[in-house]
Amino acid sequence: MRAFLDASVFIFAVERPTSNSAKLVKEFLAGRLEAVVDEEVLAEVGRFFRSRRGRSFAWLTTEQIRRVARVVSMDECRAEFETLRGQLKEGDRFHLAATRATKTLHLIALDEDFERFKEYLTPKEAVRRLGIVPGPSEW
Amino acid sequence: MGAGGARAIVTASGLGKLYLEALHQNDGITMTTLTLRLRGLQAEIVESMVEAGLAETRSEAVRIALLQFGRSSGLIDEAALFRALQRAAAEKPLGDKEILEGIRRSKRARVPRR
Repeated sequence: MRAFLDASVFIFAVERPTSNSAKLVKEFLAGRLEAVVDEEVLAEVGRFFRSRRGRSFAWLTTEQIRRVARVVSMDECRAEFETLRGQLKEGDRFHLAATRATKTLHLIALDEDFERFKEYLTPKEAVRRLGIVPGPSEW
Repeated sequence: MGAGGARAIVTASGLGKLYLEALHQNDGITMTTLTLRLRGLQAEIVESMVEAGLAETRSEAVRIALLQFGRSSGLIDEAALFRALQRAAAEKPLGDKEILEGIRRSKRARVPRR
């Protein structure tokens, strides 16, 4: 399974070790889930952890994502980004454009703005599709 | 950094401690104190890491560099590092509201791209 992972997945995975997001990241680090992110995901994860846990923690988390996930640049998905103009906020538009440009079937996030797009899955639903018993929370 | 080099007393704590825990998770070693005298290129790297904002202190720079060595040499894998980050976060847990608000803020801070 290949999926685009939103920043919230990585953040909940660190902050809530028993969450569905943590189960997904565990699968991803074990090589059973191929993860795609974009530059904005790295920026958002970095901003969250820099403000809550300090610079070195932020650097370590983003460096880990950079090392093991496919990072999509704006240049790689600009055509899809333009196609989605007016449908989503800019950052979310980048995420969906990166998902589509890399022919990734799923975008895993916890963001109701994505609900009308077929790629969208919550972490809980994604865990279920991987054949793992999900935890109670959506994240 | 000039010829005098850099001296860093490195007490493994925080992420450095977590690195050592990951490395020695079965033998009970949780903390090590080292006094390092660095010269030349090594001192320049440490200074550059601090100047670039990658690390707040020379000691932290050494810890991060050690962690990177652990990764590149295969002494620690990404899953072990991730568990170490989870343990570090668990030492000062955040509430659900704080996490959700932090995520919202990190998205709001988006920089418009051209």
